[in-house]
Amino acid sequence: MGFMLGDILESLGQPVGLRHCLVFAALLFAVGLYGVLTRRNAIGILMALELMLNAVNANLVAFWRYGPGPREALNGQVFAVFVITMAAAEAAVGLAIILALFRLRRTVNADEVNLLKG
Amino acid sequence: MWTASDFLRQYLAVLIVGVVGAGLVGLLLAGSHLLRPARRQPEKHITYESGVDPVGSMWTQSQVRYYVFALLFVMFDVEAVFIFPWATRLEAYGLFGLIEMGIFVFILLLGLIYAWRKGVLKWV
Amino acid sequence: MLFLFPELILCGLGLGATVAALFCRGRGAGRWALYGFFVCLAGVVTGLCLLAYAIDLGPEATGQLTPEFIARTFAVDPLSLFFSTLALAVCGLAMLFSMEFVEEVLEEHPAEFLALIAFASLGIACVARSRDLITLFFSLELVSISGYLLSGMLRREPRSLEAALKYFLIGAVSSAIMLFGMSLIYGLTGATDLRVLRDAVGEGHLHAVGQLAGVRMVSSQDPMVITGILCIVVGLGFKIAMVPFHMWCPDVYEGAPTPATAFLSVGPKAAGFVAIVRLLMLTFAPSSGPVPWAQPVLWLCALTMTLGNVVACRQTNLKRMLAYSSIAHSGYILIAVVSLGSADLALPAIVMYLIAYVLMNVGAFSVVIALSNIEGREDIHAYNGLSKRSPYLAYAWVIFAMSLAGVPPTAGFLGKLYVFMAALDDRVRLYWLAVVGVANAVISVWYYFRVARHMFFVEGVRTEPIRVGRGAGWAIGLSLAGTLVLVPLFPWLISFATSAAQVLGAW
Repeated sequence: MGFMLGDILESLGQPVGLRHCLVFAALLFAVGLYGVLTRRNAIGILMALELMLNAVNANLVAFWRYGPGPREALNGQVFAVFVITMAAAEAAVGLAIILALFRLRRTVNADEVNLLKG
Repeated sequence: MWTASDFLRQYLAVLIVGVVGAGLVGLLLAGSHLLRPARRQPEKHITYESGVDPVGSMWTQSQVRYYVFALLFVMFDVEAVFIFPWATRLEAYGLFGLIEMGIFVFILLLGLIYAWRKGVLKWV
Repeated sequence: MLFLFPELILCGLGLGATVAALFCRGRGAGRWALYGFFVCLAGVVTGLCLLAYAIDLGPEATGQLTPEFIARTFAVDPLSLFFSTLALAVCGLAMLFSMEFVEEVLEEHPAEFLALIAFASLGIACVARSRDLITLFFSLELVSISGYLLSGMLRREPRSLEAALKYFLIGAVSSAIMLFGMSLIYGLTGATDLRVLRDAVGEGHLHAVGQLAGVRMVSSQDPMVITGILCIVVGLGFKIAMVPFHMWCPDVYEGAPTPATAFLSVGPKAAGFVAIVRLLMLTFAPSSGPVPWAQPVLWLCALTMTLGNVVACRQTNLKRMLAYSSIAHSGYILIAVVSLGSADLALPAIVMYLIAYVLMNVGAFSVVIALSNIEGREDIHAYNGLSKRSPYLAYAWVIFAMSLAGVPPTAGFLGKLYVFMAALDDRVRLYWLAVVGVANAVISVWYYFRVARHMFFVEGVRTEPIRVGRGAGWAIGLSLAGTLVLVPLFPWLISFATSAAQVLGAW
């Protein structure tokens, strides 16, 4: 496997490049995923979700800047802009659902929402 | 070629400044702790709130009506992201771009009219 | 532009319903649903005519009828036109079966319900068209976000909101994972165009990529490529409720308002499978060298069928039972997906199965909707003695149950037949998978007909006749006709689907 901790540490000594961005994005994504899996509060889950989406954005922009595609093809940038919009739409819908649920149940904890099972 | 040790050497200065800074602050705090008189009173452990005794829980709910405005703002703000790239390349896209953007803004406008008719824009 | 008309119709329908939402409620919304249905019906008829025309013209000539800037991200070929027409049909049926619901049950925002259905269908149509990762992902997202809202439309009902919250959280996380995979794929190759990706991932066919400089060829065995593709498989697996990513499905289907459930069980699932066809079968399936996603999906496919059917046997709530049944149907379609070695059989099989699935699932759910609009419940005892209260509903259920279980003279049987044929082909030889599939079909007979037993042979507490609403009644009638009429039409359909799938080389 090409993946070695030593490799990463070694590359940290070099001027900022693709690898730094990718390591950062992967860590950010992992933090977000961890948050999604462990948070009880639905708002907290939503925030962790935003971290995951921003990790993707960091990836896309880094790949656009340092990746194999030509600079003039703005694919990565356009993708990132769309992801930002989608994140806003998703947050709006998610908050609306959480708010409506809070009005009914007085809770935003995901583990207390358990009427449906079987 | 850079190596990890070069990289670490560069950060040596940062480390030294950090240690000196922490040491200085620690020294000052320790000095003042030794010099000042210490009289323990229960009032001194209460949360300071402009001289008024704090009452009740610190968890309060904020007004939910802010939320709709905030969301509307975020939505329209984010949609504007699509208008900027178009504006910088206005000539290149010409009439076609203008019509496309017209459709886009029309759909946004429809959203705004919807929000307005549903009474979301009114501060209650 | 001519060939994009299903998308234009759906977009207009959604915007129209949004405007209608400003003025009308209750009755008015029901009338809008009826108009929407007729618009979709006209669209489907036109779509089928255009489809024949497009097949006649061939994909090259059809593509030339489209402006360049659209053709870059939107495919205009017979297959995508077919899927868009299917999306129109789903939208039309959904408008019909939710008519009584928006008139009588849904007190707040009835017209918005219709608008969301139209926008979600627009998303399905755009997924079918997508020729670019960006378009594909955001079309899928349009389907998902509309779905979250649809499942939470009854916002005074804790179960509906709980379904919406679960659907939202799980759907959003799966989208984020899929997006991460897509960003890796984009980064490694430098391209988002699916046609370029197809050539760039694999053993590398240098000739086809000339027009885009700077695209990097990568091996499909590169660990980063495998990570990216598996992330995409996980994301799509959530969308189609593939085991082990199915946990949300029964809860969401049970809690959501019944017409929303009916739509969610066909709409997003069709979108997910169309995306799987585009992404996995046509893009990330290198003609030389091993296909990186095939092995895990093969095992998960067998697991999906079996778990769906076995757990469905234990359910007493009909919506929950149909949820597990829809998981099982995802498994059947996945058989065709993993038999991509015989793509000329597998692609038409998926097309056929999706048509049959849409018809029989909409029909079965319309029976549930018709009853739940009146009784307000969906547990199996609500169906006791239904054959006396409404013979129409009871006999319709029997036909749909036969089709869902795959009993001969129905569309569902032929769908399964073609799927199994794709797996049994000499180039694939997935005999054990076909055996598992047939065994599962046998298990499924039991639980579908258990409901029929309650309808015909168990005395009900209530005996007064049921007045089946206009919309739900018509939706049942249409899908009933479709389920039965498709059978004589099948040879024609399959030859059409094959010719649509053959032109894929040029998509």
